[in-house]
Amino acid sequence: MPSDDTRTSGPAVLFDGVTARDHAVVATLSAGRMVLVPADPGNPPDCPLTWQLEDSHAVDGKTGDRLTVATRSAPNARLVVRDPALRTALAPALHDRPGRTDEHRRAVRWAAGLGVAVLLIAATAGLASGYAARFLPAGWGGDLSDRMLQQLSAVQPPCSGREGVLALNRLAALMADALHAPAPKVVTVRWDLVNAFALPGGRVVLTSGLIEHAGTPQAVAAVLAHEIGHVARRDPLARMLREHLVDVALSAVFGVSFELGPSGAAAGMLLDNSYTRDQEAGADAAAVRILNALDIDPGPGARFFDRLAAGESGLGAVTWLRSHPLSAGRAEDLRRAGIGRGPGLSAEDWRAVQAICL
Amino acid sequence: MTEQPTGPAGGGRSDSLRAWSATRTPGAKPRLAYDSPGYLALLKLHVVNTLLTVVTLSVWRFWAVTRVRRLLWAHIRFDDQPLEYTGNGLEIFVGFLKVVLFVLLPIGLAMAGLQLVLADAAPSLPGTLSIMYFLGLLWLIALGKYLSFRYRVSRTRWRGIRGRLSGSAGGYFWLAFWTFAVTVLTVGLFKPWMDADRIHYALNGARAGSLRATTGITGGTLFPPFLLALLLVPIAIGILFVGSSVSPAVSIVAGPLIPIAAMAGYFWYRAALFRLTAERTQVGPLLFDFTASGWAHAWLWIGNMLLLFGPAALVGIVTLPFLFVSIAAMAAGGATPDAAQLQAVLALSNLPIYGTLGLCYLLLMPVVWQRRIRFVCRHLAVHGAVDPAVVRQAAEDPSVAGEGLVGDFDAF
Repeated sequence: MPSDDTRTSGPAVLFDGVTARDHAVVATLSAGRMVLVPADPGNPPDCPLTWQLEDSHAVDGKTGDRLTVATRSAPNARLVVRDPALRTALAPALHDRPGRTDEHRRAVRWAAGLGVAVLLIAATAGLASGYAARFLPAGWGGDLSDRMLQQLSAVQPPCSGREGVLALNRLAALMADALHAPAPKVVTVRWDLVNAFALPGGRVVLTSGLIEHAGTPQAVAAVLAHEIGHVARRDPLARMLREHLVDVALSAVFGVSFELGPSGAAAGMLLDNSYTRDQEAGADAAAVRILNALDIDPGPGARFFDRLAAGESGLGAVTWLRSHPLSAGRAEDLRRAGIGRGPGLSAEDWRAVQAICL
Repeated sequence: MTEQPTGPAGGGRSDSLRAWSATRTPGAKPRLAYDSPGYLALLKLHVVNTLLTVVTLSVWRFWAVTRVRRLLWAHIRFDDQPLEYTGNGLEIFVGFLKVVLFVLLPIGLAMAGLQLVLADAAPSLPGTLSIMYFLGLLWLIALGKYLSFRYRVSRTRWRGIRGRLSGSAGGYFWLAFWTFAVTVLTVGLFKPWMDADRIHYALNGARAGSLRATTGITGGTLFPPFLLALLLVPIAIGILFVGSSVSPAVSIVAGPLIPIAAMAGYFWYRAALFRLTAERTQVGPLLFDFTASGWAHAWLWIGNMLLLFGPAALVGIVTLPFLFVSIAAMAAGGATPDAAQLQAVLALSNLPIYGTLGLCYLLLMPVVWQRRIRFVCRHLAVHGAVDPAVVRQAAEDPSVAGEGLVGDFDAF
């Protein structure tokens, strides 16, 4: 037999995995197998003594002064080889790691299944949070929003022009009424940024930069109507829930929270209000309904959106459009569907709004 | 709860004052020994693991910890035979995912919901809630440590024989909960009983193959050293009080006395906890001693802290004057410093600190592992002989599926 030429033998110690006892054996390699012969036949080890090399692996690597071998047919047994000649002959024939057992395959299935479940939760978080938000009372999250606003006020103080505040809130109440929603609270903050956003619990924030650059009461009304559309649809609450859910799901896998705490969350809301396409479209439709119901001319608002879209100089890098993306045809839709003729605010109210931050 | 030590070595050895003095048996050859694979081998493994952990957004950590343990375990020998670590990364990962899905996710959602409700219903409650959250976290960490220890024991073999802790995750869940609750309610006085109950739950009935562990640790035995440790702080305050009434200068010099007393008390108690647990625990015919003094415990911990955080703290202290100078320069001429500019300066000044911190973690973590292992090997004395032929394999614990929970993803 040709395999006889490559036969290698040497002493080794076998732990059979049944007791802690060590058995002196002579291990012989031939024809892809290792045969173990106990030195003390009166006290034989309690495990298979013929090990297929293709089913065997080195337990702690192949370097060092000892080679420890495990095999599939006797998973609890360990063969410890110190004899250099046998080690040299045995090492190349062994796998580095155990072969794929059923247990391993089961673990892979579990890992894949659970991973998919976590990702699914993250993916469907939008849908789930949308439904959850709709079932919650309208005022929910208002106090949380007020705390966020309080933090914001340290950097961007609210404008306190009394007449202007009243005028905006009156307009907002009428707008919400058109959608049969409770009246929101409108806050204007001193900030050059051209921006507006809604927070959970019916809080709408406008920046002084927006009022300044909008230039007309109709344009301010168009933006306000859109935000009130979000409020009526509970989009801000849904977004907050969604972010939380996604954060929990992702931090689960990666072990790190991507949420930055309340102040970070507030900053996120201000700079990146990423609503979904559906939410934006819904708010746009609501805005048209509001403007029509209150007989407000959509033209100046549409022109303002065009200016934002064109990136007109002086409007800054972060604009309302950036935080309300995915609606390139917004201006066009507004022109097409809008039938109003009026200004939205009386001349006196508009002056008060313009002076709100002075 | 009986106060009688059931351990064989109970009588006469429980002098709690000995927590500070070494009681090593002279001349005995250490039966638990660690021969290092070499710093460079560990460093290479750790650097590769760190890089992979970063590029996989930390998912690699399950496999990282497995590789490190496999290497370290193979170099720890008991009676001249090495240990073998048989855990694998996938197993830990699956355990972790299960806990996330079935424990952390529901808790996270409940907390988020509760926060929303409470923010509107009672604005003062979120404070209470965050305290509850913190306590809950401590409870989960205790549970995680047990599960991690249980997993490591079940995946450790010696002479082909595996270990197994007693108890179940569910049982420990409730034990950790009620002992923790009582400890909080008794302002900490219940702590010795909490510690003893938890140790007893894990160790009593644990197995090394067919060898059964029994432990006679009770809260009563731990209470005297605990009380002494607890009294160190009031004593320090008393000294400070009397001293400062004599001369106000004393209060400045002796100010650090209180935190030092608190730390000394902590390590004193820790030494007693380890020593008494070892003395009152028996595995088959084997008896134990844990000879580390309070100083030794303190030096292990302080040394590791100094290795990992000391250099970064030093860099922080050194760069502080530069920070002051640059801020002063910005404010020169009465101008209000620009917030963005200020932020940039602060970030820049933090850079060397974070850099040092990262470098220390990368270079010195292997040293920290080895210090911990050497500490155990040096101080854990094992007495008695065991005939390997009578030690039989333990049945596999089917409920151990991974470290789960927070684990402690420390290699050792």
